[in-house]
Amino acid sequence: MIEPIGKLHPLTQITWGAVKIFNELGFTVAEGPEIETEFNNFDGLNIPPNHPARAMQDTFWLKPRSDGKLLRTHMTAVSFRELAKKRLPMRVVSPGRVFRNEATDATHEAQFYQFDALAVDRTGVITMADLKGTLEHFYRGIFGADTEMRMRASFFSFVEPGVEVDIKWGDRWLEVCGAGMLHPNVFRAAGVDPEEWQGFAFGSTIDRLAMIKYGVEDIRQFYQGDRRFLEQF
Amino acid sequence: MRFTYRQLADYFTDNFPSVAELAEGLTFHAWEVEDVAPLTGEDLEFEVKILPDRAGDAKTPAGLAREINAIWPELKPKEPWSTVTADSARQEIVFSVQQINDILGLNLKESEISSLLRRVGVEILGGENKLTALVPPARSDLNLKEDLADEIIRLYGYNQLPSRLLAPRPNKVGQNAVGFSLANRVRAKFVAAGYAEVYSYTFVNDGEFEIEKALASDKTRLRTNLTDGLRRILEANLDRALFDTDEVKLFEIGTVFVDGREEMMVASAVGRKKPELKIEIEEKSLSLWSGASLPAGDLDPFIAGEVHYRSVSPYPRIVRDLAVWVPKAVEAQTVSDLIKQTAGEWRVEGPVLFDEFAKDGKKSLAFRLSFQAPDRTLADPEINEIMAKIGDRLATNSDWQVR
Repeated sequence: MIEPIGKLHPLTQITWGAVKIFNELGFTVAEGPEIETEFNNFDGLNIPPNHPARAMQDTFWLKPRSDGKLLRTHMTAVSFRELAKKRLPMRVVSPGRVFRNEATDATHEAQFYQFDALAVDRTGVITMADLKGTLEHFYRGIFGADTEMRMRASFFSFVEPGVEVDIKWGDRWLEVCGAGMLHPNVFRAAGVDPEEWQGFAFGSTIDRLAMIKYGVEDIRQFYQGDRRFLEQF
Repeated sequence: MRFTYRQLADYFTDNFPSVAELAEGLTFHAWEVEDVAPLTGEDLEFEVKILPDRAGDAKTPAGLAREINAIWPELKPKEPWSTVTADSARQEIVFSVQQINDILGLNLKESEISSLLRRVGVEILGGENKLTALVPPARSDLNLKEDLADEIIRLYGYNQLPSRLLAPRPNKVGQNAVGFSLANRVRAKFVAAGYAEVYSYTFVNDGEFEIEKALASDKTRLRTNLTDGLRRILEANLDRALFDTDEVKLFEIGTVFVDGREEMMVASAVGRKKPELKIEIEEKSLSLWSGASLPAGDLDPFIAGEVHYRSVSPYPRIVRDLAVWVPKAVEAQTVSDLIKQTAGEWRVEGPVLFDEFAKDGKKSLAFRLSFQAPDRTLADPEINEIMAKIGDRLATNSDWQVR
């Protein structure tokens, strides 16, 4: 009796919006595998074996563990693959599914979507100021032209300096992004000379952006395939 | 790490920042203050998220007080902080003013850079083009010029950093990855044909790739196809359909793990319960779509405008039908709008017109609608009351008769 309604998944809609903004800024979409090597996911990104993010509870390792294969924990792994191709200067954005070994609840899923953006050019061309302006441009594109954004000091192994980024939604500041200047050790691991090249990297969880934008309070809804949910977007 | 306000204030002579200033200053320039809780005796406890790079020096009250002094350089410590010399330095970092400005996109002077670094106990020797930073023994995290740039910008303040949009690259318009573009063309095809896109789970109970420390015993493997998940989702949607004759059309584009590798697949499903049960599912590799006749991958026509999201209730649904005789000239939409206006906040689906026939100059319209509360199971009498209210509202038109 009710004709089916064609709908794009809300995470596809957010991804599309993000990619359009980045395409206009000269970024192209890159892809990579969901099963990654320990090197691309961790070592190459200056995350040494004793880093807390490598603890067993965070990462899904494939059996046998001795193979060093895992389900990628962040899309920065794809940025690293692209950097290692050494087609410089470069601007890539990599959206895709990532995995974290965490108990699931309304705000945590063992699988979710992220995009990672990486822009690299000669020393002094792409700076922290460009990072700030580009992030502001992006979040205004997603959440509205008058969206306020702020950066706070933070630490991520694969960037230095590193920041966390908040946007103001209603009267609350919400954390949406980790960002910074790509760490020299990451350049070296990819075979690129950090004395000649520099750039920024940032990553944002697509599910989180969709939850904020649409007011979805349970991340698990994105993966249930319930038409009553999907048809609202 | 937890610290008390008094404990920290006690390192300084006076003018210690207020609780709110302290929480905000630390959050912007150093670490997030995750909680401030009252203690007995008018003291307060701060929960500060000291990040792993500073585990070595900042996880003590003295270490945090030292950091507070870097953020508020006008504070006078009761005991002077130890200073670093060429002999005591953990290491020396050679850098230039230009290098710092290149990283940050600022035009800081040598004196500003030196002054900011001295606030964190780093001593600076030399001039403009060749500066040497003496790193105090406790700061194991400072090893590169980038580490110094981080100290400089966080103390300078990210709010003072100018915003510059990345310059466009007019001659460098590249191509998005082939798989991404192809997937969007396939999406455009299915959505235009009335299919709703789903994303389902990677973890299943059977498959050749097994994971360590799975979250549940039925989520130990990586999916080998999209079909099984899509079938379950289709059946669940059919069970929830308002009418047994409703058709449900779904598709998914996602990665499967089979034959020792991963592959992006496209699966589509069509189903209905009546007049006869039909469930058709097709799945094939995304790469096999590359030769197919597909629309352009522009998804703009399928992007939602304003969304007024309402969460899907986990509580049971109550379905009701309502039929009414109206004069032939009355539009079904008019009746439907009236029902909608009167049905209240628990209405989740419909009214859907499912039957219409004319007799003796009048027509009969039958609608179905459903009710569900977000927070509890509704009781039949509650819905009876709403249906009676709808009936009364419709009956205010003297020539309408609710059947």
